[in-house]
Amino acid sequence: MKSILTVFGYTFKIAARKRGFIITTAVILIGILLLCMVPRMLLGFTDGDPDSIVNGVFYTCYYVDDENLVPYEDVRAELQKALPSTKLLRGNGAEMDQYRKQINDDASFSVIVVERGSDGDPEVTVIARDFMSNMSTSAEIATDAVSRVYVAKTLADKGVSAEDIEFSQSTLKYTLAPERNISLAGYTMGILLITLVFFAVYYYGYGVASSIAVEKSSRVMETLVVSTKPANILIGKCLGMGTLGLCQFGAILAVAILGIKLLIPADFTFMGESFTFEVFTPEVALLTVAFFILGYALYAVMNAVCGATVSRVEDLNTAMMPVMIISMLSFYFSYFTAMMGSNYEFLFKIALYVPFTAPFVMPFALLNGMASPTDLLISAAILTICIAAVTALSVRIYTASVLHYGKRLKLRDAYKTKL
Amino acid sequence: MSLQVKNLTKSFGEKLAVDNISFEMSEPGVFGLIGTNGAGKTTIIRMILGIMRPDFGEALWNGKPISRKVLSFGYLPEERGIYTKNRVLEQLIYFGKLRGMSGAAAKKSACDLLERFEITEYADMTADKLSKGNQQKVQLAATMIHDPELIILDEPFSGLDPVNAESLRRIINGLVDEKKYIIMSSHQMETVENYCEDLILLHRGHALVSGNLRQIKESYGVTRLAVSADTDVLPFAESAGLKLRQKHADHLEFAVPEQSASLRFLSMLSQNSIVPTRFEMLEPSLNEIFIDKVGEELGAGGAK
Repeated sequence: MKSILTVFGYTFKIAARKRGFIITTAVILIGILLLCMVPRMLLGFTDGDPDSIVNGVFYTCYYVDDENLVPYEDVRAELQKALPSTKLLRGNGAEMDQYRKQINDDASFSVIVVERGSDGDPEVTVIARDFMSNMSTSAEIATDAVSRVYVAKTLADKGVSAEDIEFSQSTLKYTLAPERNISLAGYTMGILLITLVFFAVYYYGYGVASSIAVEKSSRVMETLVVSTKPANILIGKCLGMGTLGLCQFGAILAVAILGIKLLIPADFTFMGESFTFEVFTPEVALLTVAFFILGYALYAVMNAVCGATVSRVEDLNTAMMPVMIISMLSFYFSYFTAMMGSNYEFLFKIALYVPFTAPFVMPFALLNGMASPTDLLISAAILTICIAAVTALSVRIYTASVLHYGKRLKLRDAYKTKL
Repeated sequence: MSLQVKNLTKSFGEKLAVDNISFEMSEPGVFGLIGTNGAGKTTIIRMILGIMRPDFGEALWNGKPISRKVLSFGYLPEERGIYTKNRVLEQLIYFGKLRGMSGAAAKKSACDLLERFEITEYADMTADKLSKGNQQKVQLAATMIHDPELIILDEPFSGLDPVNAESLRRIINGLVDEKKYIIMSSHQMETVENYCEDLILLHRGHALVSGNLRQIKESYGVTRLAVSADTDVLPFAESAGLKLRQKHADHLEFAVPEQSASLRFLSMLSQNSIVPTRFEMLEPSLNEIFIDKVGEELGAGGAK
């Protein structure tokens, strides 16, 4: 135990002092603070403008109806109701070239053109930059709004009463009642945490492998293994790097929480939704950290074995490839299932239970109420059992590999080596 | 105290790396593990230190299998086994703590050793800023930080210039004076000859010869004669039955088939009033013994 603590302390101290670590941490923390300052900066720039992004206005649309086929004021009211994120401006056909140029320069611009068709009725054309642009996806809504106004006007011209017109345009009331409440804040933070946990696990796992490869290639390992058991070195090193990662991870979370509390205005809305962080409760924070530790432990021991199998640091990336592939696939699987929300529940459940994906996807599930206590327990149990098994296997392979130089030892041969 | 190595045997796959090696150290001093690269020296050391399990045989200290609990040992690896990017004193303290010392005791021991090896000024420098010789001293300090009973030096003179080699020689002599048990592995046979009373000569994993160096040499007898004189003595030597082995800048070296040939040669010089400035009967060097033994083995192999 004393040896483990000694290796742990030394690994932590040396890694924490590295310039790369200090700079990376500082850059991340400054980045988070800057990100938290963005809403205030936006508010500052908008200077009370009701059409600012802060107030939920992202797009500009010109409405061109040179023949005045549909009454503009009515259309404007309908369109503003149907597309609240869009600022509508009256345009004219003579300036179409300029509008087209604007659309090509900025995807947030679009044009709705109303012209008389061959049958005498108005026809609507929506011009947007490409199919990804907002107005392109909202063309149906816009056309529907214009149609309603046109139909109402035509019926009124034919002497239909206002009541009948209103009735003809009414739709049945409906209520969308989602069983699960995925908030924008929970969703965004969940996706960010998946990425953050992946990078932290990857970065510190690589740190463990690299540190072991350096010790091996510089032959320090020979001095170490005569001083203590290889298993103690492996565990101490993983603990040292893990604790450092946890400290950095903790610092990032702490600065993020402080930044959110102090820098983001309480009434700030984004895309019309208020950005609250109530979902990030102390329980969720604690469980996120717990799963980060478990995930790190799993990947760190596997990376340690990779570091032990090479004789030269240059060969490390090749040796790490299998673990890298597992971690990348796990990350993308977690990311995909989280992005899809509850649409692929079966896949999401798999991601929650598979030990390689659970550490990435669990924070998202916790933030969005997508993991029951049973899910949590089963996932943690599977992950813990897997870590114990992988560690036992890794210690054996590591012990056989650390003093093997020259041609890379195959894992099967390392496992079979008499210790 | 004694070290007993009994029938150590180790194979890697099909290859027999160490074949039934036995020796004993019952007194402090330097024991030589001699052999060319790939002779099995490092594998034997690893088996003695318990970091590699032998297929057969055992290494005992005072009759007990060697482990970190039974014996305090220090190991100087063949290649520099120190952190090049870390500070010297800091890593020495780390190695000391790994050996079970307290932080304070490790620091004191490290500082004492740095002073003894005359490298105190490098304590707070990273090891990569040091010369090879000083790095070797740091490595030796790491080996000795916990004052071990048995010290294993694997190729300690490898890559050192004459000045640093001399400095290391003084340190090793100091350890001998402190009655330490030292195993020194080397492929530089002339270096080991200066230290070892007992040795084992290895070739491809097995022992060619082992025992007391003096006795081994005596068993070979005097085989060479070194002569230098102002006059050309070669004709006299040849007529006395000596064969020229090598012409050196300042002397001639003859192979001596029998002692009487040397005496005949000396007598001839005397009769011709030639006073040799050097007339020295030479024992075979370790290198010669090694080559002779390897030759014998190859001959035996060929006969087979």
